[in-house]
Amino acid sequence: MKKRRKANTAFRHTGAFWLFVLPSLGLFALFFLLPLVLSIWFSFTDFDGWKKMNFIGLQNYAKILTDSSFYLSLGRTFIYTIVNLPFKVAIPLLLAALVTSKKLKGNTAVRTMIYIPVLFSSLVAGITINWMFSQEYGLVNFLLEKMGMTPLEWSLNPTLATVVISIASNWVSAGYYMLLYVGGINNISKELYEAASIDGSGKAHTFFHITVPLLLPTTFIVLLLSTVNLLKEYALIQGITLGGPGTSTTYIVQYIFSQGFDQYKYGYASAAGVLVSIVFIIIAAIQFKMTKGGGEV
Amino acid sequence: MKETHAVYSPGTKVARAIGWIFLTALAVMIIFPVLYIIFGSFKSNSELLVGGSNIFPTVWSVNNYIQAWQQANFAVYTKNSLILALGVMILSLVTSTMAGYVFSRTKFRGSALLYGVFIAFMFINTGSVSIRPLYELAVKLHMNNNLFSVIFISTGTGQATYIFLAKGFVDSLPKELDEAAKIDGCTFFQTFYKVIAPLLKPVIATIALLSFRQGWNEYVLPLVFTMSNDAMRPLTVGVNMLKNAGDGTAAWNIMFAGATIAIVPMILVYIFFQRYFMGGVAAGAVKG
Repeated sequence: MKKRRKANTAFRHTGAFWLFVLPSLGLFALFFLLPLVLSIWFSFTDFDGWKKMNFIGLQNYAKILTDSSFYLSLGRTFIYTIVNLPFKVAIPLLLAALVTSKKLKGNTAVRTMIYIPVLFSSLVAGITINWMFSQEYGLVNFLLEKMGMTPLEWSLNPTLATVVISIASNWVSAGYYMLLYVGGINNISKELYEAASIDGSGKAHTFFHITVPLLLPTTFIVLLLSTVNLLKEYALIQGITLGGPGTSTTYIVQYIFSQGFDQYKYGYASAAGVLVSIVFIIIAAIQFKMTKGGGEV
Repeated sequence: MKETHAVYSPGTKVARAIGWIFLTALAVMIIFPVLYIIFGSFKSNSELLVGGSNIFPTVWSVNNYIQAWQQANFAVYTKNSLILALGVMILSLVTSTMAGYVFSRTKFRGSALLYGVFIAFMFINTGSVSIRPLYELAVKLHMNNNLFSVIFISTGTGQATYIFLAKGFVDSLPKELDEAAKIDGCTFFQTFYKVIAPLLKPVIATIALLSFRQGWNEYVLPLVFTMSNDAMRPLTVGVNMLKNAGDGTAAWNIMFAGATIAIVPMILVYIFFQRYFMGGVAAGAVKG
């Protein structure tokens, strides 16, 4: 009987499916796919943003592949991503352990507060972080001086500028990943913890031998999301260093934007964008494949 | 970490105390800058430029707000930000819950493929690549001078996450609900909005908050689309222009006030939704 009803409604279901998907599909096709196709087309032209648009074949791609500043930005992006990944996992995980603890009074309030920076636009985050790390009147330098250290030139030293960006990036994302971990921790059965404590397992031991391994699926999601977000880091940098000092915080998306919007080489920028997207897809796919064994995304 | 009734040795207690101190310090470090900005917006510029760690102003003043309000068209910016945020929110809610529902319930090859495409694009959306073509497109459609274009584009590029969350949530609802509704004579659409939609509250709150935030914080898109039209600018673009306000030196006081104007409504919306929100993100992501 179930089978017959299925057959009867099969067509109606498919029809309803497309009807329900239509609004999002329409928006997706018009404002995502079409521009993507257009930018692939641009990548084969010398489009300058106004009038000039001639088909020039693979010239843009050839030029990019011999452009050292392209490789430098890409390399910088990879280093930035790899260095920051451990923090993107560890800090939210520790915070989640903190806010799910029954020992801590008012942990819901703490959770709420930790999430607040996630709500900020990159601009507000930028103003805040720039202020904290400002050379003369910033809080960080003030504290360093109080502790008898020399204040640091956060915005002039390439390494320190990268540190500031990294802190900012973790600051605005920690709350979100923390929530994912909170969800994961709440899904772990309480009996496991009871059994562990009966067996005489200490808090730290329980955390590293029960909580962390069981959170592996969540960790995979956090890794995947933060890798992609780190590779694409742009708005935050616009709010803080604008890619400087020099080009020391110019990551790949920044590079593409400046080629297009500042130097009016839209064809060239589109080609770089296409190449970078392909690289990102490959990285995401590898990560997805590697982690699928443990995680259900 | 669950509470147990075991008795702890003094050593464990010390270790635990150190752990808590460390974690609490981390939490304080995260929240402190936020409070500093909000309270700092009531300080005078000279007090701000002294620096230091005083979080509260010595003299409270609303001058910065008056100045910011006068130097920039804040009433209009706020209105535009609200239109943008609410527009993205409503449109995202409609499209993502409908799509999430059928992606969860209707299984055939096309649906799985389409869902895969949506999610795959969610991961690789670099944004930068398509801003210029988007602008060309909007000009062609005569949509380049109103906020609707920004609302549509923002929803179109951001919705994959919400579909992902909605599908994950519908997956956790028993299929028997749909079947019972069908037996009672509900059409497909009635099943959705009479039976399923009311159960989606947590995930609706989550998507509402995330998409409101997305619209409220949208920067690059409105920057490009409102380049020549001050009356269309949202707060993000307006606040950034304050950077150049004042006499060359950074007018931190005005920027602090601008930043506070931009974050307080967002925080209020967050507190309003957060009871549902906390569970929604976690459920969608983990069970998805």
